[in-house]
Amino acid sequence: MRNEQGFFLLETIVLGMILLAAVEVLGLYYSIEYMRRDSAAETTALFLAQEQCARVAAVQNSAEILPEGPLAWLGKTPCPIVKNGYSFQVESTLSKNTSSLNLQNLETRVIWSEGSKNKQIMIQRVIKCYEK
Amino acid sequence: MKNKMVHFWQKQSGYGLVELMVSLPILILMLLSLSAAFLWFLKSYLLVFSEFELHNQVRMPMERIAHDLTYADQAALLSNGIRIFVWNSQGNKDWVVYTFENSRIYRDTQPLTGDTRIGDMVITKFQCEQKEPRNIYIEIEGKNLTTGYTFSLETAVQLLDKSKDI
Repeated sequence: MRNEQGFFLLETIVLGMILLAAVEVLGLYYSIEYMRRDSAAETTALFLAQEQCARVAAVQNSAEILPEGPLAWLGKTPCPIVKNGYSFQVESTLSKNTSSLNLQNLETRVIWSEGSKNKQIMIQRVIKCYEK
Repeated sequence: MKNKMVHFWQKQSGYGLVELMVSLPILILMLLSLSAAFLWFLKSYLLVFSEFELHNQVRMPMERIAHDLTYADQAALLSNGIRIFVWNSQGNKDWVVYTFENSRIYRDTQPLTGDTRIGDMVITKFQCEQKEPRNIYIEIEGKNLTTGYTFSLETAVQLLDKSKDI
């Protein structure tokens, strides 16, 4: 035992590999957890965007017609919409469609925060605007 | 050279009993810690997967209903679901019924949710409302009973009005 002088190379390598495996495993866990949260937020945002498009289409099909320009959230729950641990902001813009007077372009963005980052999805639809 | 080798082997005395008694518990402790960490990771990994599965369980019926409504001619709200009238491939009027029974969503008699080995999942809410004449609002909420994690989605679909086709 008196001849021992510090760690052998083999011991250092084994310890290093154990530590590396532990770090990899933790990293994998956190990346999967991040993917889960991200997928939840994206799915929720996509359905909220579809809801806004349907609501706008319903109004354009009713007695009153929304003017072109930015639109507020028309859904049931108040905006910002708090769902699945996130706060979603919905912004829409209605604009003219050049191919027909009875069509309008609707662009809907759903924005949410993930840590310090702002994320968003955007969908575009062409909706019918009926003459009264 | 031969003398040196003999001398080297003679110097080796191996581990003593005390050294063995100290090193064995340390080794066992290290192995137990490693296995515990590995099992914790496996459990957490499966729990995250079960939450992914809950997303699928909620998203899938939502997509099916929204898809059927998009091409629907009419829809009627039921006390525990919705009946959607569609045109089938033969050009005849047909319908599909989505119902909420025993914490599951059924499409006609076919369950859309519930069968999974990854976790214990239930649908806790399936709500359909009609606010505007042809606008259907849908909300589905599911819960993972293993982790207590809740996931909900809401959307709305505007039915086509063929009488107003341009």
